[in-house]
Amino acid sequence: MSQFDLVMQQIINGLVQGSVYVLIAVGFTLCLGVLKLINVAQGHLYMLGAFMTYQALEWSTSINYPMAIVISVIIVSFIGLCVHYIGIWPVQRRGEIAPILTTVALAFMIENIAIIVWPGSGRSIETSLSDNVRNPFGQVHITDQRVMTFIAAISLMLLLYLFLQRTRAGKAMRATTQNQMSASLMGINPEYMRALAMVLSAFLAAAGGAFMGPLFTILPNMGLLYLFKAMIVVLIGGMGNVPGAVVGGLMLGMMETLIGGLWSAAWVNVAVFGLIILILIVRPKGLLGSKGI
Amino acid sequence: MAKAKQTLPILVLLGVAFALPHIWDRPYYMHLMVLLWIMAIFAISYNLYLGFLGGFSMGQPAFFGVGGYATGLVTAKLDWPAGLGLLVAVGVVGVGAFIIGFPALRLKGPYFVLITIALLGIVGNLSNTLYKVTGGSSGLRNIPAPVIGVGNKGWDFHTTNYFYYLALGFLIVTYLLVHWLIYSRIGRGFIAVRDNEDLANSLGINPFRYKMIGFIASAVISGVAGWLYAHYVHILDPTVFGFNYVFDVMFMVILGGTGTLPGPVVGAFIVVFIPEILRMAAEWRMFYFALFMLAMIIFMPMGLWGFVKMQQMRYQEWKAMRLAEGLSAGLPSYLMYLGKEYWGKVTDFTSLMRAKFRRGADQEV
Repeated sequence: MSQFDLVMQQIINGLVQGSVYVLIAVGFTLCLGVLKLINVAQGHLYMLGAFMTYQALEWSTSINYPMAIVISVIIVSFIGLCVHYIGIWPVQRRGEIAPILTTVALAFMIENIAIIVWPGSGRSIETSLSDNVRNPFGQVHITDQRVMTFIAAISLMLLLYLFLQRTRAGKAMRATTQNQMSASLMGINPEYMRALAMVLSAFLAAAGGAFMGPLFTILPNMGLLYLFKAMIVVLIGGMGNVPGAVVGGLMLGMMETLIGGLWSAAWVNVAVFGLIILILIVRPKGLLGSKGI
Repeated sequence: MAKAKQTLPILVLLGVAFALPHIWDRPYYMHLMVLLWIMAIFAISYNLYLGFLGGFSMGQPAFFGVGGYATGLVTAKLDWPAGLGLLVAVGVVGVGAFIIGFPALRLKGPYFVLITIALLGIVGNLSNTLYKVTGGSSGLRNIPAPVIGVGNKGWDFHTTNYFYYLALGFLIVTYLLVHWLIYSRIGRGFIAVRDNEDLANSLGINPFRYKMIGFIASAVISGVAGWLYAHYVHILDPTVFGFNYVFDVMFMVILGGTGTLPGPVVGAFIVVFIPEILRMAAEWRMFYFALFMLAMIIFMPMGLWGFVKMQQMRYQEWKAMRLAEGLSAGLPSYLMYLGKEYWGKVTDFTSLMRAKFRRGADQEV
């Protein structure tokens, strides 16, 4: 494998990995923008998305992979709504700390249930897409699953963009992010917008989990790791900023695979955190700032 | 008289704490108690910044771990005595907090939270990556127990019961120091900055300077807790930089009572002993613990200590009112009053519901 092919391979892998980070981080940043809170359960919703897909495929042989994704996304969106009404809604007028702690408690509960339901050393989702390997050029390998993940993530992002820019509910959500008081004076119910933002972020996390599931082994305790990734992406791109999350997610994915593949896997996280400290010192509000979603 | 009434419970509690290794002869629970005192010191340091300066950091274990690693490296690798290790830990953590404080303390709200997470991440990853120095994920081993005195005649803290007194002593000293700090001029400045930064600034209190003092003090106390932890468990690995410690210490402070002095210690008891009680739930332990914490955060906004204080205050008010009316003010009649009040709430609610449903029925007809 030539050096060029190696670099190209890592860039392609990085884009795929980054597109999944984008899905998780955009949900996280929506919560940060609309609800003004750090949703610690985001990584666990991602984990549930992967496991629900796995479980749907286990239930019956007549369920194929796309159907499993739809089932998983619907269930996890509902769980996201439950997280909002059990954890966040009762304490939402109590500053920034209480909602973080209630989501931590809910995340622990979700993780505990997942460990009991899916014990052992992890599961893997098997789809026929993982078997088809393409060689676009040189010795670069891409499976159909990776191609599908990237395309699906990009199209979800486009749909979200259209939703936020063109629909009434999306515009209301952006207004709520900018100024909740004046939005509610214009007849927007901020309560609905908060619940909608939670459902949307759970939806995106579950979609990320469902696409990422076939690429890696899924574990019940991987939630905190992906929460950490979402936080990093948001730090790079800017808080409560959807385009920033897209840029940050792709950057993080590429950085991880390039440094890990070409240099040393041990230094990946140190380099990523060094970059974050640098960004926070030079541009404390992230690369794209934090103006609205 | 009032003074004696206040000091008596404190003296009784201190007496129980000092006598505990002699009356509760269960090594496992003694081990838990030592960890509890160490975590209480850690929680006090977290509360100093969160409760009195209003800065919500999620990177506090960075200081705890760095303090532990600093003393571990000089005592295990260079054979320095543990006392010098304490100085090294305090020095390293203090200087580190000073350097981090410059960019971090100018940020507010979620930005500050996320930069502290980044700090925790970078320190944790460095401890893993620099495995030639720190031992990597297999840990830094053979950290000696602290010894006071010279040679064989020294007082050696290698057993749990001896270390219990060391940790308790450190806790009491830390508590008194923080108490002194909060009631001093600096502490007043902290609270002024917490309550209204702009107003404090206009009154000649430099918010950045006070935040820096609080941040460094909080970091140094965390470093001391880390020193105790390293010398107690004799081994450190990168899991001390994990999220678990952040959540533990956050729950200790919030469940105990944010911005109160005894709150973190009360919270340490909750977070350490509730999982022990829940041991019978076996694999569902974490679930019930999380459920318990969720309920406590929702229903006790000021934490357990704040709740107790509020009840006490209500009792005093009621007592003053009763005495002014010339009625008896004992505890039984207070309980009756409370019962009547809650019963009143219940009947209000039921009559409200009844009215609501009757109205609905009327409309249907």
